[in-house]
Amino acid sequence: MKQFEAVVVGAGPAGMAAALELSKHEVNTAVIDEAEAPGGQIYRPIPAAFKVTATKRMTHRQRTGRRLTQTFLQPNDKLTIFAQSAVWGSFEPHSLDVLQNDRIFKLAYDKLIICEGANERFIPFPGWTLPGVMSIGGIQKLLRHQRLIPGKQILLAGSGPLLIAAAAELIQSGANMAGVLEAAKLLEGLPLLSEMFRQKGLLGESIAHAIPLLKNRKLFRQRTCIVEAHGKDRVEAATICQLDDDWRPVAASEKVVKTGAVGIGFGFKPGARLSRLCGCKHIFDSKKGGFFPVVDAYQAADRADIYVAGDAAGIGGAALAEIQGRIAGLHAAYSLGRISKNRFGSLIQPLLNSKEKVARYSRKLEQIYTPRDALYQTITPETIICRCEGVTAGELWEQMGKGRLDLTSLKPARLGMGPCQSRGCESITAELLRLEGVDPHMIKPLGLRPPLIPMPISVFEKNNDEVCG
Amino acid sequence: MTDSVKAMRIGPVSDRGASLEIIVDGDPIQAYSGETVAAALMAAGRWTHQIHNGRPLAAFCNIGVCYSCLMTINGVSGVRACQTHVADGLIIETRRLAKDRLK
Repeated sequence: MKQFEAVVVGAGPAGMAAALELSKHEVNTAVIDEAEAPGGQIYRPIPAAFKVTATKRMTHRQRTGRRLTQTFLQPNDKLTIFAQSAVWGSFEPHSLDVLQNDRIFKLAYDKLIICEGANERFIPFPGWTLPGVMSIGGIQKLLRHQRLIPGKQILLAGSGPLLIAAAAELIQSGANMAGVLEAAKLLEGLPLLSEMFRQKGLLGESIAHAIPLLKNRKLFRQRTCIVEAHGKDRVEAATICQLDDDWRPVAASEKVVKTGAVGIGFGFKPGARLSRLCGCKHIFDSKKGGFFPVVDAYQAADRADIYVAGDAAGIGGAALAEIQGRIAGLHAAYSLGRISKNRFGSLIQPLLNSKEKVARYSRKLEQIYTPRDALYQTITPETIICRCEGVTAGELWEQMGKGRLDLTSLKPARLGMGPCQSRGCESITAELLRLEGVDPHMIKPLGLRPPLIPMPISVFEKNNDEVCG
Repeated sequence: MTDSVKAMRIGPVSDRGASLEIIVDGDPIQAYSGETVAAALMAAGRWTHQIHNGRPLAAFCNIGVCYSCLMTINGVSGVRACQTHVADGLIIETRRLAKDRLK
């Protein structure tokens, strides 16, 4: 058993900011992260074994990330980093079970700050499980981290800033694009302009992403989406379709395009898993992408001594995540008695103010890019909802027709029973329930049990003394 | 295996780590230190990372969340290929359900 005053789970912008705030105020802090180096998905560095390092021109966001990561990695006797580690269980309050490579150990904490980040959101369509169909973020990671272009031609379809960013990066890397399909209209993005002027770096970043697309205007189609992927062992073509203003596929507007790879994604959903295992209250909100934990202004969840910060607490992006992380870290340090009440008040107020400012941009993004209900018509009865087990929408609808109108009672159809432990199908099925007329507030998440990640049994044999009781 | 299904490495391979060999379903495949198993397979044009009830699946989210790229790596089953870095001589079997193996 290792004992820390604070444990931070996740070393993305929120986790790093929280840990820095805690250690600054003399709180003995541990950080647990799955990757070999900190940064999270957004600041993930190129593999250490590669000889190329950074890109030539860094964006404001990348510079911010590098600064944060470098500060985080500075020698700091109050900060212990557990890399290549993941929390797989929590069997009692103030205790976590950690897997690091092939060993397991317990970590005790006084304060826990969960910064698990986000996952992407999808609307399934026939053929979306074919190899070569990937998430847009997955393709972006292949490009940035692995320096790999997945196919001879690439079709991107979805909505939101990631779509445009990934398209720009692919074009600049020499990828041959089959198309870039945005369900929203370009003009609908206009309300974002005022925020782009207010927030440092946003405007420059947006322009940088727009230029490659403006140069290749023919590739970009608004109010258009993918409705089917074709191929035998791998995607070879896609049916694309125009959408009306409700994002309803327009009849007889289908067109088949040849493509070697497809990227799909409609923004993000909170990756909240550990907060659920720890018993924090979560509610379902379509605009937020799925289930997210209820937190107060200081990011504190409804369970004692647990905070959730960053995208795991509701999608807001890296800038908001960093602020939330600092708020959570500061509040935890204050409640551990490291900061006086007056000092806490003067330190927290500017953070709360900038949180409010940055959150405005996220709320506008939500309004513009959250998929509209009519787009779910791309889901046919044969469409697979659960990638792992191959459960189709038709099977789920049949069960729902029998009155099984909650996630748990759909488990006999093998919903959430595959290796991903419902990470993919749960939120999509929650949307299906909502579209069947179930009150979103009544949609409860599936119960989670340890291990949160698949683990070989041998780990438990090797670590007999640390096995939970 | 035609070139058109291979994922393309950007820039010269000398930008990557040391050249090495992994064994995928019995076949030697060239890869470079720092690459993930999933990336190395895509670059080799191998897009079937598992078969579930006759249905092929491959790396989808590429960040360790979707579990579509599960494989047996050096004898350990259910390992995420997108989260595992290559190493010389790594022995990889793509995932098959028992009934998919019989075919």
